[in-house]
Formats: sequence, structure tokens, C-alpha cells
Amino acid sequence: MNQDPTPNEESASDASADRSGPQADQGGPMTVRFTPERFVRELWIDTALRRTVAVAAVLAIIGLALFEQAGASVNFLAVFGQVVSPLAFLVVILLVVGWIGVSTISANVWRALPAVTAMIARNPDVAEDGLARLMKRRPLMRWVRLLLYHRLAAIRHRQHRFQESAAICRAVLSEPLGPARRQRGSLLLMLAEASLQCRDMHGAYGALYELHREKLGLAERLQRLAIQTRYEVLNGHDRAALGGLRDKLMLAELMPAEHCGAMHAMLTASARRVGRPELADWLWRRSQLLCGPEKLDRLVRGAFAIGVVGPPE
Amino acid sequence: MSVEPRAGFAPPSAEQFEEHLRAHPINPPGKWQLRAPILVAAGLLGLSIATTGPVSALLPWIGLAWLFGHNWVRAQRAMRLESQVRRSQETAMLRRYPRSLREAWRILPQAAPMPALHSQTVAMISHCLDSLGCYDAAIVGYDYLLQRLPPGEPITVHIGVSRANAALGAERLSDADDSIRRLRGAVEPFKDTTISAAYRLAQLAQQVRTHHFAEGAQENDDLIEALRPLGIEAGYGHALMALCHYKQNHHDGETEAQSSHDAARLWWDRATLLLPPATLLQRYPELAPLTEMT
Repeated sequence: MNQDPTPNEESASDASADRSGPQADQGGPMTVRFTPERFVRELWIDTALRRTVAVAAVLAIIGLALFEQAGASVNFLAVFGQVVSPLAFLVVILLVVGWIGVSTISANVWRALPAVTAMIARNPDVAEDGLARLMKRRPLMRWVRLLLYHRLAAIRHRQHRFQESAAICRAVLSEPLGPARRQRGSLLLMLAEASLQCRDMHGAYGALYELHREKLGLAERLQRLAIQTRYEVLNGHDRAALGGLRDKLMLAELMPAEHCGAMHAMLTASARRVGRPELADWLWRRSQLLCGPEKLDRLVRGAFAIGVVGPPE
Repeated sequence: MSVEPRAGFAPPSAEQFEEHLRAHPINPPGKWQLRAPILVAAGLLGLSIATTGPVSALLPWIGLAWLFGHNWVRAQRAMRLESQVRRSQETAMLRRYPRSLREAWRILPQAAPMPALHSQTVAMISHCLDSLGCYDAAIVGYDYLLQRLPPGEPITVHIGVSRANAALGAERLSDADDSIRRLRGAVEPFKDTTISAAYRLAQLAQQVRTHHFAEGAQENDDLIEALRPLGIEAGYGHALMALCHYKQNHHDGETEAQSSHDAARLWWDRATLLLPPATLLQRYPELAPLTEMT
């Protein structure tokens, strides 16, 4: 939950401008600097390394077969038959073991990821340190690398560096996600919220539009509802915000108390603007019980920035 | 907030739940069971080295393919089960408890080889039973989990508090008293969370169930703040506080009686702002006299 909703991108960007990552700041925790070029380059290096191993394996097998069958016509099917010498067989086995070794790097990184994820909510800086160490590993499978960037977006979101968070989400979403597809909803939610924080309504609309085409779980549907309501209230689409109010409130009641209170506060603003004072009063009294006056005041001043998108599951 | 109607549905009894847990305990695969696929693959590799011929050359590949296939099938099965548990959890979140309970009951035998998923399923069954007012059965599940989860972890403390609330619901007052006293220290680190809020609700419910209304009414200063993390369910606490003031009203002099009545009315208004009276009465039938104030 973001406590301070005020966007402070400039200072955050300045702070990270002199970093090149992943790197350690004089023995301190490692940080990651994101640029779209670097992201594309890392994906390219991973792919190139993995393909090199695969091509080397195929070439080695063919080379051995040719070497052993020198002078004779090569029957590639026979390679796997009686004509294979123990040396050739050993090379093939070594290559298979090598390929498994390469895959093991990805498997280890994937296994270490939950520890980083769990740390995002508690201490994003420590999580970033762990993530930076994982990002240094190579070669990684494409979808594992994309998962690492997804977690980086979550860390930036948590650190209120919304511009960077949005940029990472956009970069990851522009790639084919493969097995990381399950994170698409989470990426779109972060993108929508980060865009709203940066007052990029166009970006927020695009992300919300995509979110409506996604099959989301209940928790994600609740987050989408909160973000969409905020988008509608900020843009003055008050009738849309109040549409299906009963169902919206029923869903809002499933949210954590503060988010539920914030939803009520947002709907209060819309109810006031469309001239429904009784409804506004009822919603406001509920939001006061759910949020508390101080929190409500902060919410209203911060344009209802409630930070509904938490760390990924 | 409304709970799905229970027409035509009979939740399991405490004995049935106990039997179900006994029949399907956590049963993680043994060390050798986990290593078996690797051993089979290694055996095939050894066999291929020891023999010659086309079949021996193919054996390691068959072994590898089998190993990958086996792991893939296992992973798929685990993922399918996880998604079933998630769906059932969502159903419970939407307060369709009978359906969620039915699903979780069916999932439990399949979740036996996966300890985390098994515990999650037991917790869900217990939560559904608790929400349906089957407190004795819910306690069976909570006890099962408390015996197995590491002490001091947030989830363990949360389940402990839920158990205390369920014991109060089941009118097992001395049991509840024990639980609440035991949890006092454990709850301390979880200030301003749903854990501490649920604990405060349990304390208030205990005061009401043991007829310590004056004691309950005196502790109203920070109640709104303390119960806030519960969201709309804080309404239960507000209603109990209203009852404390209402009951105190009958023991006070005329002036104090009026102020107690006003306080009762204020707390009841807060409660009904968050939850409808029918929902409040469903969980705490002793709130019935307060409905006259509406």
C-alpha cells in the first residue's frame, strides 16, 4: 500500500540517473537501472547464448558423425546405431548435460524469485538487491528474464517511481510473454495505476481497455475496479463512476478496509457532482468509518491515489 | 453484504470433518518417491552404456523424454489443483460459502501430497464452516492447522484468533477465555492489522457473552480505530459496543441511562451503516433488542 500518493518522479529519476545496473553502490545494496535499450539487449544476449549452445550441440554431433564416417557416405540415422564410437557417445551425453546445465540457471533463478517477491512489500530496496543479483545470471530463458523485469516494475511501483514502473511494464508487455503470460494482468494493472499517477490518462485508458479483455482473478478484478473508478472520477465521468453502484459497493466491500474507504470517498465526489447529496452523505459517512478522517483528507488531497496494486503473488 | 442462502444444504458436522481430515492427512511424497524418476532415467543411461546396438543408443533419450514427461504431468496436475483452490477461495471471498465449502471438501483428498495446498484447503473449509455458524466443526479445522503451522507466524496467529472467535460462537466460554489469554502476547506485533482487529472483536464478544457489559462499554475510546482494519466487518464490533451500552442502560440512573441510550444508538447507527441488521443478528442473535432502535 503506497502511503504517500504524491508523484515524485523527477527526484526519483535524478537519484537513479547516475546508476548503471545491476551494480553495487560502494559495497551497498545492488541496484538496477532500466532503459528500454538495455532490456532489449539483455533479451538478445540470452537468446544468442542459448542458441549458440544448441547450434554447437548439433554441429558437434554432425561433425563427429562426419569424422567417424570420413570417406564413406553418411547415414545420419546410423549415427544413433552401432557405428557410434564411445567417444562420440560421450560427447553427445556431455552436450545434453551442458544443455541441462544452461536450463538449470533459469530454474535456479525461477526458484529464487519467490523470496524476492516476498521482500517487495516489506523492503523494496532489499528486494532490488536480490533482483539485481538474479539479473546478472546468464543465459536465462526469455520468460524467466521477463518475470525478473515484472518484479522490477513491482519494486519501482512500490518505490513510487511510477514513470519507470510504467516504462518497464510497457517494455515487458511489448514482448511475447510465453509462460510468463499469467503476469499480464498484473503488468496492465501496474501500468494503469502508474499512468494515473503520472496523469497520463491516455496510457491509463489503454491499459484499462486491455484489462477488460483479460481473464482476471477476483483480486485483480477488485484492483481494476478501484483504478477504473479513480480514472472515471478524475476525468469527470461521474455517471459512469456511479453506474451499477450496488454491485460496485458489493465488490468494494471485499477490498481491504482502506481501499474500500477510498472507493467510497471517490464515489462521494461523483455523487456530489451529479447532485445526489443524500447518497454522497451516506457514502461519506461510510468512508469515514472505513478510513478515518486523516486518511480521507490525505486521499482527497492526493486525488484518491490509493496504490491498489500490491506486489505480485 | 449477504451470505448465500443455505436452503437444501447441510454443512458437515465436527465429527464428519474430523473423519475427513483423518482419512486424508498431509501425505507428501517420500524421498525415494521423488528420486524414482531420476533413478529410472539413470538406470536407462547405465543400461545403454553397458549394451550396444541401436536400442541402447536410444535408451538415454527415451529416459530423458520420460523424465521430462513425468515432471510435466506432475507440474500440470499441481497447477490444476492450485487453480481449483484459488477458484474456491474466490467463491468464499464472494461469501458463497456452501459452494466454496463443497469445492474445498472435494479438493482436500487430492491436495494431500502437497502440504501447503492441503493446509490452505483446510483453512478454507474451516473459514466457510465458521461463516456458516458451524463453530464446532470450524474449531476442528483450526486445531488441526494450529498443531501443524509454525508458532508466531502471522497465519498461525490469525487462525488462533479465528479459533477464539469460533469458540465464543460455540458458547465454549472457558475455551475461548484460554485462547484469548494465550494470544495476548502473540498479537502484539500485529498492531493495526486485521489480526489485532479480529482479536479486539474477540475480546469484545467475550465481554458480551460473559455479561461484562459495563467493562465492554468502558473500552470504547479507541474501538473505531482498532476495528478499522476489518473493513465493513467492523460493524459487528460496533453492534456489540451498542449492546454493551444498551444493557448498561438498564442498570444506570435516569441521567446516565439517557446517555447510555444515546451511546447505544450512536454505535448501532455506525454498525448498521456498515452491515444490515439481518447480517448482524445472524452472527450475534443477542443483538435482537437493538433492532427496536432502528
